[in-house]
Parts: sequence; C-alpha cells; structure tokens
Amino acid sequence: MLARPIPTAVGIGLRSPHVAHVLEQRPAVPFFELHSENFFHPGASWELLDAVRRDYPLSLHGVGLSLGSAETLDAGHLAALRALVRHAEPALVSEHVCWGAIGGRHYNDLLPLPYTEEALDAMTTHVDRLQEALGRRVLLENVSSYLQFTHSTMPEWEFLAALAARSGCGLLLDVNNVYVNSVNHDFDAHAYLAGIPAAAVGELHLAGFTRKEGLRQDDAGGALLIDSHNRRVDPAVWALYAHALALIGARPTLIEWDQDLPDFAVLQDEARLATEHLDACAALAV
Amino acid sequence: MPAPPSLSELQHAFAGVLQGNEAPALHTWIAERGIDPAARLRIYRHAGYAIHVDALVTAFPALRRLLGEECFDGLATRHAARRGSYSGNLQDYGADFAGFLAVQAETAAWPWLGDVARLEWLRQQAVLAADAAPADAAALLVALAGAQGALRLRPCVRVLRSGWAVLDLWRHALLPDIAAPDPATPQAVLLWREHAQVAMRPIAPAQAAFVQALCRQAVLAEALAEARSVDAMTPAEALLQPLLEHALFAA
Repeated sequence: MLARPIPTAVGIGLRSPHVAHVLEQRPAVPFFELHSENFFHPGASWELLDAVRRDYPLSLHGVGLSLGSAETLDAGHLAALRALVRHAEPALVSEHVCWGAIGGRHYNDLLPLPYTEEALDAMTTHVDRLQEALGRRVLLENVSSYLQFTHSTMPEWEFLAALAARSGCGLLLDVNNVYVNSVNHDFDAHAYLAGIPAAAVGELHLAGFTRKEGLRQDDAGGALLIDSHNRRVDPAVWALYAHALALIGARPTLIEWDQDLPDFAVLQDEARLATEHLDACAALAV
Repeated sequence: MPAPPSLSELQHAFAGVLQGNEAPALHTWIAERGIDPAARLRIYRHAGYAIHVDALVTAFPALRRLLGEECFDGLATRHAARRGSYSGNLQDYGADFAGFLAVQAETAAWPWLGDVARLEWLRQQAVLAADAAPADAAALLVALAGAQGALRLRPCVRVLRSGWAVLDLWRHALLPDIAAPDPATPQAVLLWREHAQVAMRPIAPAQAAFVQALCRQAVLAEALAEARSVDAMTPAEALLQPLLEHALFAA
C-alpha cells in the first residue's frame, strides 16, 4: 500500500474512544494523526492501523523518543518506530523538541530544554540519527512549557530555525503552544512566527489550553496557561493561526484533543472552523 | 554566579524533582516571572504523576474498582514516584505494579489483589502480543510427528495460576451482576486475543500447567509431564481441549 499524501486540509488526531465510530461511519476527514507509541506492539493495534490507513492518509506523531536528551537515544524505541513506519508508510512522521528520559528512566512527558548550543547539538545529533534510521525527513514540534532556563542563549524560535537548518528536518508548528508560551514567558507570539523559516513548516497543530489563575505574583499577574488539549481552540489561538497562515502559507493542519474527549462531531466542528481559515488563506493567495 | 549546568546535569537534577526530590541548585537557572521556580517544577512533577496514574488506571480497571479510586490513585502516584517508567511507551508501564502492591500496607488485608493485578497485566500483554495464524489439523499432526514434538502457541496466549478466585474477582469488580466470590477458591485462567478483544476462561490446574510449559516452549513430553505432576489422572485430550477449542496453536 503506497503512502497517501497529506492534503493541505484539516485533519483530526484519532484517539481510541473515537476509533469504532470512525471505522463504522467513515466520516469525511482529510487525514488522521495517530500517536506512534500506541502502535509499537504489532498485535491487535496493527489491525486497527491498517483499517484506518486503508481509507485515510496517515500521519504518525511520536511522544516518547526524547530527542533532546543528553544521552543516546533509546535504541529499542527507535527500532520499534522504524518497524512501525516501514509497516504503516505514513505520509508524515513527527516528534517533539524536548526531552523525556535520562539515566535509563523515562518520564513520558514533553520536558523543556534550555535553548543553548549544547542542547542544539544534542537535538541535531539525535534528529540526524532518527532521519537516517527512518530513511526520511521528519517534522519536529515545538512544545508548551511552564518554565524557561535563564542560561538559554537564544529564543525558542531561533533554536527551532537552527535545528531545521542543521538537520534538514521540517517543523510541525503547534500554534497553540506558541500562544501558550508567549503568555507564560512574556514574549511576542508574532515575533516567534516571524522567526520561523516558512519553507520548513510541514504541518500546523491546533488545540485547547486551560487557564490557571492566581499563580503569578509579579506585576504582569494573570494566568499560567496549561496545554491541556481538553477544550475547543481559544479565540486568541484562532487569531494567531490566521496570522500564521498569512505569514507561512496554507499548511496541513491538525485538531488535537486528548483529555475529556467530546463527541467526534465537536472535533469535526473544530476542523470546519480551521478549514474556513485555510480557505480564506487560499483565497488571498489567488 | 556559578557556571550554568551542563545539559546532562540539568536533566538529572530535573529528573530528581520529578521523582519527588528537591533541587535548589536548579532554581538559579529557572526564570521566576512571578512564580517561584520550585512551583514551576512542581507543575511538571504533578503532571508526570498524573500521566503515569492515568496509564495504570487504563491497564488496571478491576483493581481500581476493588481498591477504590482514592486508594488506587494514591498507590499509583507512589509507584510513579518510587519505581517510575523504563520505556518511552506508556503501554509498557505497569509490569511491576503487582509486585509493588504486594509490599504496600494498604493492600495487606486483601492478599488476592496482587493476582488480580497480574491478571490485568496479562490482559495487557495479550492485547499487545504479535499476531500468528492458528494452526490447522494437518500442521498440528506434522508438529506432533516431529522428533521433538514441539507445539507452538499463538503469541497472545497467557495463563495465570492463582491461589485465589482471581477471574471471579475480576468479573465481580467490573460486571455489576456478578456476585461476590469466595476469594479463597483457587483458580487458573487461560487468556488469549479474539477479534482484538481479550478472552478469558477458567481451566483446570493440570491444563494450566500444560499451557504454562508450552508458553515457555517446552516440548510436548515435558509439558505432559508437568501437567501430570499436578494431576496424574488428567487425560491428554483434556489437556489439549481448551487450546484446540479456541484455535490457540500457531501455524
């Protein structure tokens, strides 16, 4: 089965509570994104994977490779990903700009990096190894964070741009994460987007965040935003998405929702809203 | 001002915080912006615990019902902090949860909980195991005629021999119409995957010994001997019956 390309349209992150609905109803969704690790064991999960990819273009999104770790990559994890990618032949493969394992222990979370030359070297080395192992280009996603390291020597967007330039990887720009970090770390989200090399961006992500009030005690006050993936996309993120499309151009876009999953129809409605933005961007480009 | 930590030093210190320790040296290198660095690190610690508790909630639903949500979540949080995960794939997290429960004070009054946890972990393994086509009668006869008499089971087959009514306890926890069993009734359980779902049935102790031997790839004569050390009177056809009935031999 040849990989079906991802169209410049709005896909949906497929989570297990919606699988039966999707396989029975075959809704009109331009593509689905699945979490790679859920398919590392070639048992019952591959039957499901094959059933999805028969009818839909597929993107595989990893969360556990810990590409930013100071140590070598987990060879078993990399081998499992390679076997999965060979089997599924997805149109896109993506991972995160973060770390999640050290000293042999995994924390199964997307932990923040200091944006230093040393971290950039580690990320670049590991992305090189990943792309070599898979024999293909991957997309790397920016993550939300709740702290920043004071010894960082470059802003996040510069780190991403340098990673793409040095490794040849593409970028998966999560617009919600850009907004969340701009609030949490007091930077201009538009400056972030302006610093991202548009040609490197292969996909955009949208999701909802949670606002935690009362944590900040400084003059800025206000809330800390948590990347919770448990609600509709915030109006501020829709505005930033429109700005990103105008700046970068139309890109395949994904609606992510991982906690407190609503009916599938709600995700389709979010996809409809994103499609309106994509269509508006396309109309402007004509 | 001290030199900033190397990436390795920073990640090891951060990991210590995620395991419940404090790392004041790390605070110097975290921008405050109205939130104490320790509080910022605690956001990650609590998120990490929640990720691992959720994984155990998914893998051990009956155990959570039997323990109660509050007790289970407390034990799961303790497990996340003390034992943690050794895989980037959360589906692999929880293999040692049964052993962890066995040494926790909260579970001492219910000694069968460990076996319920083992049963649930075997269910997880049965779901994740690779596929293999079932053997037909001809292939089975060929295998039996071979010099070694080697019979291979499908990779999804698992068995649990328990001193407790482990399958009835599991069903009672999740199915409201099932009456509470006498926990002290020993039970052996055969597990396998059928149409992407896990199937389970009770089997006799000799049958369980036979399947256990085949699972570790013992030759037929050895598997028969093990079954008969449990019950010398069980005929060979009775030992084979559940495996043939559910097509659990691999081609």
